[in-house]
Amino acid sequence: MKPDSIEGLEKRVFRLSTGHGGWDLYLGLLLAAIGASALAEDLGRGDSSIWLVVIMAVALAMLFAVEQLIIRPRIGNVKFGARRKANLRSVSAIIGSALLVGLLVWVIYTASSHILRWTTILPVLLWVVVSLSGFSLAAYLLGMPQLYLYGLLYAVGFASLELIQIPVTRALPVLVCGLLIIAIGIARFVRFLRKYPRVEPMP
Amino acid sequence: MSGAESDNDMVSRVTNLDATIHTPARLAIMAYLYVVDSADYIFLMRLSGLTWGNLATHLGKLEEAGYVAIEKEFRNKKPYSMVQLTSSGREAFRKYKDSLKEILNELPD
Repeated sequence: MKPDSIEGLEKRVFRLSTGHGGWDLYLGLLLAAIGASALAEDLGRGDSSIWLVVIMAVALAMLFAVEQLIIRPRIGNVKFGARRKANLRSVSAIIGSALLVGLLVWVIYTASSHILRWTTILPVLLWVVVSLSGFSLAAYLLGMPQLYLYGLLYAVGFASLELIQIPVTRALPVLVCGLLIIAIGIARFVRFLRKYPRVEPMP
Repeated sequence: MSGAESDNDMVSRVTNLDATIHTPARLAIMAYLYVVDSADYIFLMRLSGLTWGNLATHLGKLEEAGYVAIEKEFRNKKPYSMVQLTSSGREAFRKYKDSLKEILNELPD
């Protein structure tokens, strides 16, 4: 057994545990929710932040239900070792701090946008950098290459939302990027269901 | 060392490999448990491709040898078990891996 194959084995275990498409669906729903909430606001259907919170809460509840009722009965449960847990903690910390920095700069920008009119590009650049770096680091640390693509789609979505100044049209690229991730998630989920049918209970 | 002595040494090292681990199914179970903290029966079944019966038999043998600890409980009135390598199991697997690596490295190409 080669020394590096132990790491390969751990990656295989992690892929089995997370390769069901549930997280892809969740990330796609989040992005689509941002697009949908912007669209709802542009169409005069209420405050976008309320829509966003509602859709995000529903997506999280759905992910939890799918995990408990469909995924776990098919592949079971595993607790990872210290190294993987440390990687997961690092990813959470990176994404958390990236979002915090993004939010902070956005708040500062919004509050002072009348002074900083020349910096329309600033929040766009910021969200692009946050999306690309956050997702890329997560992809590298967790060994999930699809996260590179999701980072790019999030970056394109955020950029178009800020750069396109036409109501309704500005929300469409975000929605499309979100739907693309959802489509990948559905494909992975269907493949998972076909590959792992429900296990008969232990006799 | 003469060729015959070297062959005998090789044979004795192969026969001295830990027989509890040196079975494809148990080796797979030990290897997967080595890289995680713990896993339940369904997860091990999916990874190893074994049936319930086979998995239970092999885990029983590993538990008997003190290599794994099986924590049994009931969830929604159904039996549920989490399996974990014990420290002696982890040490035995490491030793087995090193011995096998040495033997394989000495074989001619």
